[in-house]
Amino acid sequence: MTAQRGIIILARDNENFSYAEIASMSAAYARKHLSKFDEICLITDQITYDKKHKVIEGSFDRIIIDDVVTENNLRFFKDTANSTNTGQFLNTNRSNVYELSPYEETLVIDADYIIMSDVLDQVWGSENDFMINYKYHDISGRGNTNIQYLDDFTIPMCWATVFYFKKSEYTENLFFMINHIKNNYSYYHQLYNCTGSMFRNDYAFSIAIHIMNGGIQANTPSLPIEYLNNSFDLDDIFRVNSDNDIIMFCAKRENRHEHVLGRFTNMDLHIMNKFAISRNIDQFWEAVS
Amino acid sequence: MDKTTTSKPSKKKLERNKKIKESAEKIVIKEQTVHKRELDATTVQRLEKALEQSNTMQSFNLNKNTLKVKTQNLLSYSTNGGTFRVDQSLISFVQYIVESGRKEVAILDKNDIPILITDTEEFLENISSLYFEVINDYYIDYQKLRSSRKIEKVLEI
Repeated sequence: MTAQRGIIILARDNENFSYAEIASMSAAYARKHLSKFDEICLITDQITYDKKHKVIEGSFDRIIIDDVVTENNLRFFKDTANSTNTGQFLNTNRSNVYELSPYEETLVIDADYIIMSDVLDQVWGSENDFMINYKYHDISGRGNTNIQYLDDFTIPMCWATVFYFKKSEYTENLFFMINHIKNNYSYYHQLYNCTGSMFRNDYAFSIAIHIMNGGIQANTPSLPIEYLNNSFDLDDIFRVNSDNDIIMFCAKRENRHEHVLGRFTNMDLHIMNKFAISRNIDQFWEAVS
Repeated sequence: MDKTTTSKPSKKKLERNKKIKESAEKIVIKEQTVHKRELDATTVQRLEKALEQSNTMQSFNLNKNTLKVKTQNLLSYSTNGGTFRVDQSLISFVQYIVESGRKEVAILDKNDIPILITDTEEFLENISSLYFEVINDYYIDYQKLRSSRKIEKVLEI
């Protein structure tokens, strides 16, 4: 029988760190806490695969090579408020996931999304063709939990960190639209008054959902999780206690160089400080194995 | 020649200047007293203690908020393709449905999609168990958090 339900992670290494290694670790956490899926799949490029094939093959049930043209999409990668590096953000093929996914139902997660609860197991068999979250929670309490917008005068922003879709006419059109926005990004970027110059999947998804909804605010179904738990790159990891227990250094609102400690148990975490994950990758592996 | 530079200041003006000088001196004395107070060892100790407490409060509030968000995320129940946010009003509503003898009903899920519940009693049992389990964990974690004055103890560092 062919696999019907799959989790997909997209990861391509850049000059700063190995996304493939982070994705492999993330896959191990998904496997530990979720059970109602058939496969976990990695979408990567040939260069990354050749470099990291050992760890990749040990972590994924299926590997899809998608050699896209290397884009020039520079972004800042912070390692707390003390250090900032620039590097390529090689994640523009996220919009190809509809075409690439071999599954009827797909859950896409970021490589740095650490699953530590079983809530996302509830997506399978959903009535909804597409689910994504607008609400997020900044674990340091700097941002609020309300919906944020692409800009003060434009549309609400969804987080393409985690989303679910099943093959349908609507989702096929939605991903076609996302691809179209990606290919004409400077136009849509200006039209929707987006901030920053970098291509962001969050923006492309938000704009596509808005257009697909007839240009009015969409009532897109959210994932079973109420809030996406975001740890921004100003935070750091203090210790990984177990496969569902992490203590984080959370940057203070009034002084981002200072941190308070926060403990996160039995809840999924999106840890954006990739340097911190790379530094602690052995701890993550130890906790999950 | 400029008259203003050579003319003697009037008596009135001199008195006013004297008054200003006196009050300025008073202010200086007052400032010195305040400065002396700030350097008082007990005050410094108490202030340090208060600031330490402020740090603890920040950690406490952050962890309290985390528990709240975690609870909200865990209070999710999915069945028949729908996802329900389990809360007291859902439990009460389903309790009413069960008491009115309905076995099968369609109710709205958290995305306002009508979902057919084929066994209302079982559904009530499942959402109630989930609610009590999650809230009980929240209660235990919260008690642990508020009963300890030292955040290191709560986080088991």
